[in-house]
Amino acid sequence: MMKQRILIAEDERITAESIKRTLEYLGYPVSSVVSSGEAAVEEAKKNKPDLVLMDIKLKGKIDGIEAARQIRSLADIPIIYITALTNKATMERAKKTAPYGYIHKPIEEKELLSTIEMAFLRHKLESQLKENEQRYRELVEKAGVGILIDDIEGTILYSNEKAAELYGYSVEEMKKQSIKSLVHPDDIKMVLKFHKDRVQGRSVSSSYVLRGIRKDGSVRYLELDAGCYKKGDEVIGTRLYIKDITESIKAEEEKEKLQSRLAHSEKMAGIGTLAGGIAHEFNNILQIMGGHVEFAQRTKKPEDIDEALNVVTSHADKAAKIIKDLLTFSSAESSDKKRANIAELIDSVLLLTEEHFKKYNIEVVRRFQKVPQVEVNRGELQQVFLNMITNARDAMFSQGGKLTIEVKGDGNRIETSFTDTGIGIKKEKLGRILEPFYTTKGSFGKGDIPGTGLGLSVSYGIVKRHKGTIEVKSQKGKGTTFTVILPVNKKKPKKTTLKK
Amino acid sequence: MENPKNLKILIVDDEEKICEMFVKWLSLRGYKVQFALDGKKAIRLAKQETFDFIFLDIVMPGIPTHETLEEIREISSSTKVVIITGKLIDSGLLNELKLQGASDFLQKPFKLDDVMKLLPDQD
Repeated sequence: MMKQRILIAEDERITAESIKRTLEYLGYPVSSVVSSGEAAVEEAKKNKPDLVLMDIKLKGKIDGIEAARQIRSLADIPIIYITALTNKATMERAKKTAPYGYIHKPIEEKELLSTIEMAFLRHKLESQLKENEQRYRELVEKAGVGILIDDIEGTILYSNEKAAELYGYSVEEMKKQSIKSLVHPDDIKMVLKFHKDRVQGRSVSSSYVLRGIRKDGSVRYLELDAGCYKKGDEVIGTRLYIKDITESIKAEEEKEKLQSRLAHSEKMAGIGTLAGGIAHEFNNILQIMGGHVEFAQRTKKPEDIDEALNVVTSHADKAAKIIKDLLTFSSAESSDKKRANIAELIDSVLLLTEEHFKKYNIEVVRRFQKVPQVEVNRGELQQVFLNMITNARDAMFSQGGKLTIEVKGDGNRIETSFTDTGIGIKKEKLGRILEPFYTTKGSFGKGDIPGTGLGLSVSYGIVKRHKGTIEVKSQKGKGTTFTVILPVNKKKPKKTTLKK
Repeated sequence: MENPKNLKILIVDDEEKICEMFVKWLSLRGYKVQFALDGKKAIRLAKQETFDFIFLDIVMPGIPTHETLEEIREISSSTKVVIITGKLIDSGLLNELKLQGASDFLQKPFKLDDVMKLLPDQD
C-alpha cells in the first residue's frame, strides 16, 4: 500500500527540515514543505496530500488556522496543528476547524508519530462511518415507500422524499406536521390509539390502512407499517412505512361493482332457469290433472272416474309441495350475513332439484359431517350451491350418474364438495372455466345444455367475497369435483370504502 | 285412409302419467296406443312397426329430442310427428323442428279436443 503523503506548513526553515527528515525516517513521504498559509492552501488543492502538519503561525496574509479552514472546506484532509502558542483565544479558533490533533514545539519524535497515526486511524474510521451513513441516507431518502419518524406526541421528526411527495409537502414542510394534520378526522381516533399503545409498549397491529389528508386537502388511502422508534431501550416515537394504495382500492371497488352486476345478471339467469324448470313441471302437472278430469267427464265406467280423480288429487299435492319448497328456498334470501348451517343451505337447494334429478337417473348422495356454522350471505351461498348442483346435473344430463355432496371441516375451514360422474372437463378448458362468459355449454335444442358462462365466475366472486375459494378437479369422461372452501370464525374483515 | 281405429299411435313422454292420460283419452275413441318413456325406446318401437302418429315430448333425458326426431324420420317418412312440450319454445326452434319433419305442435297443458283435431275424423 502506498504510504500516506504529508504536507508540511512551517515558516521556520530549520524546524520544517527537521520534521521532514523525521517523517521520512518514519516512512512517511512528504509531498512538499511550504512556509505561508496561501501556499499551503494552493499545495493542498494541487497535490491532495493525505494529511497536513500545519504551524499556526505562518508567513503571508493568512495564518495556519485560516489556511486549515480553507483546506477543510475544499477537501476532506485531516489537519494536525503544530504550535508553540497556547493562547486560549487561538485555541478556540483552532478547535472550530476540527483538527485531528496538536503537536507542541519542541517536537518529539514519539509524539509526532503517535499523533499522525491516531489522525490517520480516526480519519479512516470517520470515512467509513460517513460512507455508511451516506448509504443508509440514500436508501431511506430515495426509498420508493414513504418513511416517517414521529415523536411521542406524534410530531414528525423525519420524512423521506417519498413520504413528503405522498402528502404533497416538501421535506422541510413535513417536519412541521403531526399525525393530526396528516390523518383524516374520521381515522384520527384509531391512529392516536395505535400510536399511544405502541409507544407505551402494548402490542398493536403493525399494519393497517388509514385515510391520509394531503396538503391540498385531498384524501388518499395509505397502508401503514409501523413500529417503535427506540433510543436504546427507550421508545421515543414511531417509525412508519407508508404506501399509497388509493388506486388499487379504487380498482378493487370497480371490480366489486362489476362483480355485483355480473352476480345480478347471473341471478336473473338462474331464476330464469329455475322458473323455466318449475313452469315445465307445472305444465306437466296441469296436463295430467286436466287430462284426467276430461277423461273422468267422458268415461262411462265408475272405477275409471275414481282412479282418474285419485290421479288429480295426488298431483294437486305434488304441485303444493313444489310451491312449498320454492317458498323455503326464497325465504332464506337476505342481503346480510348471518350464521348458517351449510348442510341446511344445501338441503334447501336440493328440495327444488332432487325430484328433477330422479328423472335424469341421477342419484344424490349426502355425506354431511357436523361442522361449525359459518357467517354467510345465505341467498348468495344458495346461488353458489344451486350453480354447483346444476352444473353436476348438466354434466350427467344424457347418461345419469351419481352426485355426491360432501360437507366436512374443522374450526378453521369448511369444505363442501360436489362430485359428479359426468362427462368431465377437458384439461385445456379447466383453466378457463372461472372466466366470465366462458362456457362449455351451448344453446338448448342443439343437443347441448344452455349456459351463460356466468355461473361459475359469479359463484367464484361470491365465495371470494366470503374469503373462501373454489377448487376444481376433473377427468374427461370420469367426472368433476368442485370444492367450495369457506373460512370459519374469521374476524369480520374491515370494509374500506372511498368516501368523498 | 283406412279405418281410423286401426291407426297406430305412439306416445313418447318421460312422465308416465302423461302417457297414461293419452292411453285413456284415446281409448275413449277406440284407439290402441303404445307408449315409450324415453327416446331410445321410442326408436326401438318405431323400428318394429310403422306408426301413423307419434306424440313426442321435447324435453326428455337420454338422447336429445332432435336426434330422436331425425331417427324416426329416417325409419319412416310417412309417420306424422307431433311435438309436445311443457316449456315455452321460441319460434326459431319451432321452425327448426318443423324443418326436421315435425308436423304439429302441442303446448302443455292441452285439451283432449286439441289432440282429436290432429287425428283423422272418426267414421
